[in-house]
Amino acid sequence: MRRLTWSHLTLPALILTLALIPGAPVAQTKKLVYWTHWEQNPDFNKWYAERGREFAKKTGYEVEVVTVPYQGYEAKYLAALIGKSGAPDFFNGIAHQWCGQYDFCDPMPADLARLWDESIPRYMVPIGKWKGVRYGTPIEHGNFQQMYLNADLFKKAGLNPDRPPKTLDEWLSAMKKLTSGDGASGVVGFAIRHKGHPVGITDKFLPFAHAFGARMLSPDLEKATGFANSAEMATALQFFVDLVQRDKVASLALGGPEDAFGQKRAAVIFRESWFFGWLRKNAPDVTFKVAALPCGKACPGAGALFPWTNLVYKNSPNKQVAWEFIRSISNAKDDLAQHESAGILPVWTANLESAYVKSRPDYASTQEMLKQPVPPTYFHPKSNELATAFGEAVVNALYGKGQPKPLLDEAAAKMDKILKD
Amino acid sequence: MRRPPPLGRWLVVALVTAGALVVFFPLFWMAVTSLKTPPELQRVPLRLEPDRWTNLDNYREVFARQPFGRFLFNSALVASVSALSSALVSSLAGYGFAKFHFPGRQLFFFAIVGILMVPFQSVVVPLYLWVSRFGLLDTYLGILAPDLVSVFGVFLMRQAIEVVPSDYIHAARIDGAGELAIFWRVILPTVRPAVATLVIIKFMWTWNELFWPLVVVNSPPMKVVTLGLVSFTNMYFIEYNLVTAAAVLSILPILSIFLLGQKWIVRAVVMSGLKG
Repeated sequence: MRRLTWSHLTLPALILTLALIPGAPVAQTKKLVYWTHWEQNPDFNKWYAERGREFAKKTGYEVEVVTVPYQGYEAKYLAALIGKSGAPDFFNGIAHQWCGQYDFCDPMPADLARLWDESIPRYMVPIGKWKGVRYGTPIEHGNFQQMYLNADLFKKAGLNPDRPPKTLDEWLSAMKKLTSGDGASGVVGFAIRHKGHPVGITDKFLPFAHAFGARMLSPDLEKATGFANSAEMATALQFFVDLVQRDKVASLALGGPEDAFGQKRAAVIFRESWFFGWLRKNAPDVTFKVAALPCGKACPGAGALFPWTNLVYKNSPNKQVAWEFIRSISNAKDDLAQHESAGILPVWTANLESAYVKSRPDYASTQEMLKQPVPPTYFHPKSNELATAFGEAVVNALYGKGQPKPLLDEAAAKMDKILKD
Repeated sequence: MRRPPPLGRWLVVALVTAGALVVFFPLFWMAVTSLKTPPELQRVPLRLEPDRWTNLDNYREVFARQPFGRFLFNSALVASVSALSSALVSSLAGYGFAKFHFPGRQLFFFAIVGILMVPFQSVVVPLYLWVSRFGLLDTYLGILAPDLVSVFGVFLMRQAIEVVPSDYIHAARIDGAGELAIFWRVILPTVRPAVATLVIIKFMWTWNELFWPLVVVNSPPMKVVTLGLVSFTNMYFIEYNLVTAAAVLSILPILSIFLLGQKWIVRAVVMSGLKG
């Protein structure tokens, strides 16, 4: 029988020893820790660390940026913020979720809150607030959908890409002219979102709903019935479904709408301001223009379902320093520098006429969208659950699993239950 | 004269070949996608082959954006330690449950196995608090904490050790061997296939673990390979060219282990009834 010798134990012992060596410790002292899940904007995130070095000269506190993968970030945030240890001093999140659903946020000092309220576009004022109190600094302007159109396909269909459709009727008529197939062969007019998480489906359908004068919840966000299933909402959903089933200007045979547009299989897509960066990288041969969304009974306007802000953790021992850091970057110059470094739209109104913004392909359309009335917002702590219930009805209608009105009635009842629970 | 193989045999060969192609194709697709540029991925009609077979730009970008080599090292370290530790602890526990009679033995055993039914997500916060209290956040030991012991391993080893004839143990005791000596010299050599099964399975499970490392790891040097992979999927889009390049890199160590320990792995799959 073979005996166990020390040599048998060497490898496991070595590995165990290595395992016990601690990694880089999370330094909490003299360091402000910032968590963000914006992996798509590494330069934007890095900027906090760069400005943190200057901040350290005055205060001794540097900024450490921790980029958390979007997939599963909520679980990580929740564990750390409940645990009160190893948690960030400030973080990128949604106010109604982290300050409303949970109570993790420190209210912003009044003078700073006033500065922000006065410095950002009107539609962004509610972003970062919960029950009228400002907790967060909005960090993303342009997080509303606009119309990206393929200029070559427009010309081919006899349409002028410099005169995009302004009303839903004109838009539908243009979509019909642009459609020459089902996307698998030929082109469809509109790249419709029909797959993925129902929250995303809701997000993409809401501009249509708002254009028909509908809203998903009551203005006080306490009721869905009478709103999510209103006559206007049913008409909007019927219009959306007809794009696929009756008018055939959109196709469920196509996969992701971004790919369909990038592959020139769809002529129009509704997407946010980040999309032109993606297009330039992934589909550089697509000649595109950006226009404001078409209006119906109302205009869809600039509104966001995902209002990202920077929030300060109320249990952080460094929360005052975190506010001081935020104060130090709360000015038009830093706002422009940070957003320009990442190629995204700045937040402060003073920067909306800057040379950088004027040079962007979405400058004119953004201006036009901002002139439209502010659409309804749904900044409720359970917005994800509500949008999921609503989005399921939209998907079912798109796939012909029921008529819009009964599906919306069912969704509204489900949403009311969520609101009551 | 040799008779040609019967038709049935050809059919089996054809089916196995078709099956192998079905399994191989996604891997091949992943590998060729990792050699394409983003515009190539958007091209219609889609072409199977990349424009340049020697295009390694995506691999360069993976390493430029992230310390991917470090991620591979971290994953290998964590998975190895977790596999060895689980094998050791599970074998000892399995030996106890299989060969020692003590009050409440069955109850303890089922209580331990019952843990398998508790979803990991439900214990994450308390576990996080413990790890944090011990100052193990963002450390190897913190990543390893829930993986040092395997409940499945206890079950597997108890089943394997139970069939070892007790006469061997009695004989060793008569020869003057202590309990630990019996464990090392009699039990472990007899159940070596089961230990190998456990090591391999546990290694692969830990290698593929995402959720716990996501919760406890903050700094890039401590990230494991799964965290590196998801970092190419953000809230707006997936960078397929980079994800596939990173995925190719991440399967290389597993592939090497498979090629080296093919015999044991096949046996492990047969023994545990688990599939890939």
